[in-house]
Amino acid sequence: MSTESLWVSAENIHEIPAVRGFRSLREALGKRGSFSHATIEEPVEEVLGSDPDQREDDQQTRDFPLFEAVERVQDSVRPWVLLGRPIGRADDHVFRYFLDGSLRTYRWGEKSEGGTSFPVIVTEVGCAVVFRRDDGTVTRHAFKRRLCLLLPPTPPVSSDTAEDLLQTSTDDGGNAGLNVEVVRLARERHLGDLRTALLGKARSVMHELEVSVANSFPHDGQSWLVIDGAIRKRIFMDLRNTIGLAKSFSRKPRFLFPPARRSIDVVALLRYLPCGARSPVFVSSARAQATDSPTGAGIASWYVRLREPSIQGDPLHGIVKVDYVVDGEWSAERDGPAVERLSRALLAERSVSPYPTNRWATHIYPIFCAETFLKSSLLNPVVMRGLMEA
Amino acid sequence: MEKPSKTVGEPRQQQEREHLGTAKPAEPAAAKPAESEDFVGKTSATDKAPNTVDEFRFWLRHGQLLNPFDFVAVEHESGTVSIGVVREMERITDAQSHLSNFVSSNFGDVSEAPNTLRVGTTVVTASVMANSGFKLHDRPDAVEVSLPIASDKKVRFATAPEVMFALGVHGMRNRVPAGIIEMSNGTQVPVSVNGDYLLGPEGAHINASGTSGLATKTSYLMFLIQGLYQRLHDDISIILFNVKQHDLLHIHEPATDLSERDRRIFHSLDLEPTPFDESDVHYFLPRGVRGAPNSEHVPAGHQVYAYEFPSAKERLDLLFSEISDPQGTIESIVGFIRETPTLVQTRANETLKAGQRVVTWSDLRAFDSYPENVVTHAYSLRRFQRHLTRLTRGNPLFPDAAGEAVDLGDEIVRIRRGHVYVIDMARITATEEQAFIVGDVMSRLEEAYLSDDQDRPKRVVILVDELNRYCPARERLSSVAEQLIEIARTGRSRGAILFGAEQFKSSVNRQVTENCATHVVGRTGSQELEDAAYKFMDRMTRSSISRLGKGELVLAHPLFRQPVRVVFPRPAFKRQEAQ
Repeated sequence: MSTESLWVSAENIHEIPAVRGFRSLREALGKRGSFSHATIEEPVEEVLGSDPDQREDDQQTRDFPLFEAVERVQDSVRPWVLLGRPIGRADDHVFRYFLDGSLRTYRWGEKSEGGTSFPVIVTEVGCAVVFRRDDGTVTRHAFKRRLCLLLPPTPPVSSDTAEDLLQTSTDDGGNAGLNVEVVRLARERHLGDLRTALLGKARSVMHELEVSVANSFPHDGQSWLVIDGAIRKRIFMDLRNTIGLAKSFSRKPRFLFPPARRSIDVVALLRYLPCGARSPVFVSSARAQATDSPTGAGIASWYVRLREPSIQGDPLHGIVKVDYVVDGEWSAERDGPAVERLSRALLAERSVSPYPTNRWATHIYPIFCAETFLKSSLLNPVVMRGLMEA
Repeated sequence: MEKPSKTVGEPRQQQEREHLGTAKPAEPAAAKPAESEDFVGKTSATDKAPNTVDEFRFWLRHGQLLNPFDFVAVEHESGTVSIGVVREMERITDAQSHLSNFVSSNFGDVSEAPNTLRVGTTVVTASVMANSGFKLHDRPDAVEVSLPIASDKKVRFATAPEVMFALGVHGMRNRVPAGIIEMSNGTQVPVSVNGDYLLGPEGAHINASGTSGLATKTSYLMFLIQGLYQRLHDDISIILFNVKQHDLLHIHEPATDLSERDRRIFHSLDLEPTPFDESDVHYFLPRGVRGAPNSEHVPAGHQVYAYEFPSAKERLDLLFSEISDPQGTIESIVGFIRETPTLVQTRANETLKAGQRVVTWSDLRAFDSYPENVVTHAYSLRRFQRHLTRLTRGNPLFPDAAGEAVDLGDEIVRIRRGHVYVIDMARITATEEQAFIVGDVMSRLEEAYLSDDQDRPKRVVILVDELNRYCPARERLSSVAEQLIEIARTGRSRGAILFGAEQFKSSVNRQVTENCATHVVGRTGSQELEDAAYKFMDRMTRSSISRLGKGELVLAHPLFRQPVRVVFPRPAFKRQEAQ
């Protein structure tokens, strides 16, 4: 049964894998102790916080906040590179694919067993890629979805309940992501608040899906993929011709211009960065630890100001951070021209803009299209409730 | 009540199974399935813009050509097909405001080229015209599905049989050819209106309006009349008032400018592209100087008409219908003249002797022996005589002796089946005289219908161009306006059918336009379209009318759920424009 031909009635609703999956999960959750459903009419859609991208970047740079410039800077007062004319798609169609991931989490209820309890959280994660044609129009290229119950580690979940839940995962295959999986949070990741850790797990599932989608199609050496957000995680390292484009980023890193020993922070680095210019390229001073890539790849990053600085307010207005996978050591001969080409192509992405959406000044339109497609493809919360309670 | 064999809302597969069994779609749902490339878009129902029983929306495939008034079809519930007519098209993008686009273009840099084109589409609003319906048990007629059309249904151009079905042509009695619908995909569909609603008994009359020169409204009415002439020859008579140069003074002559396309349209409507038969056509030309016709063109076999006083006496009020008479003094004098069998001068004056009878217009102008209760003040009489002199002295149309000229009214009373009477008054510029001629014909026609003549036609079609001249939208009604209103109100039952035309519907008395069952509107200015006279059409249709091309008309007929756009061939008789 495909989702497109779904004609739901009381007779056939059990044919939907997700319904079967949620029924099995409910039974497993009610087997020992008690499972109290969220009492409000609709399951709470978990609030993820104001800027998960920045929070994630903060986490990534927390342990290794020092970055060294790999490009020589002539002018230490104005450490930037003017990019010149943007490269539009008519000149050189650099970026063809644009990927965005998204997730919605729902608190299904509270499970109590043996004097302990934990929140039961369900997430729907999705990932979409749009392809830009020669004429500038975009079309869907790929879409994947996963429905997951986020299982906390043991404890607080008892081993028996965990086993019951893990055995309920349905896998009918070919059901457009309407199977329900049980995804378990590893014990070592549960360092603080359980709910925050589960939400972090949901983002982790989303990144896995993003990598899976990015790897699912071939692209030639000339066409590049843009992933929305940073790609500092290890799982992204094997992607080729791919950049991560972060609309917001951590303010924790400090930047060093060897041989100088005094580092500066991100605001000092970028406050006066003019529109149409980029910062030098930086790599983490502890690259191996920061990326932990099995192939030896690392991440080089730089910043590009796409929009004029705002007269008042955020000094980082209109600046995006670009993550670029370096194969082995940074090579000025090999990577320098690529950085130049990618940066100038990024400048051309200013038009059209998704103004006045949130963070429009650092949002590029094709990613916005992927995001829009994705939002319209995720299940409506009311439908989700129906699937969970059917 | 018998339980229906299927209920909408049941699982589709179940319905489809049933459909393959007992329930079969009614015609023309069995029309050939569309090829995938035929689809023009998919229906779209949203929270804020839902599909309803009456209309649905769909987005248009990229690069697809479509125009207002095109017909589209969508597969609907229970194996039925819903047919709609395109009303409005809007181009939308995801830009939330114009400012979004301004910002997108690097804050107003016109040289900025978009690297990615905005997501946008054309959203089409279509009005539901019909649903093919499905057979239910032993019910004789197909059961129409009125449910709103679901979202994401593929939309295609309707086929010609589907368009005809949507217009109700398949079950129409007394079809009257009304033009063809031309769709953007090249499909041409002959259109008929129901004669029962054009000529009675269900409804009657047609009104055509539109900007002069662009709307071709008179040509269209003549095209309809030609169809009636060919289809109902022995049942009808036709009276045409020619008010523009020699437009209608060649209707027995073959057209010189018919194109192949025109001929094709005629044939598709099952009509012959031939002029009116010469033996059926009677041209009446107004009498001019020295008895010669006062016309732009003098067709062979014509007759000249004029009004001597005795024959015009009964309808003298028509001659004064345009003159302001707030005190009713002229009305009083005219009434006395009409009611007095023989006017006799009692006291001799400069012109008339005592005891002389009034037999000519000259006599009437000089006559002053009115009773005191009719003329209460000498000024009133002088005013009447001044107007009478202005209208009749030296006017060859109102001679003392008409010579060979015929009395038009007498000819109308003897009206014959299958004959066409063309009354020329193009060179008559005085509104009073035009009103007199029209009013005279109307009143004599009324007389004809009161007679027991079994040979009189069942229906008389009367073409009155520039209707606003004779029946303007104002409170005080002239005599001729009253006659036209009477025909509009009661002509349906007597068989007197008004084919009226004017530039602005708002300028014609509402009682006439509102009694017309069928309306035709050509290109019209948007300000005029705001008038209440056009409220029978929705805003979107009115908007489309302001953009119609020459020769395109919007036809509103009681049996059509929505107005449709039609084109028609050039008339099959010689026209002034073609010369």
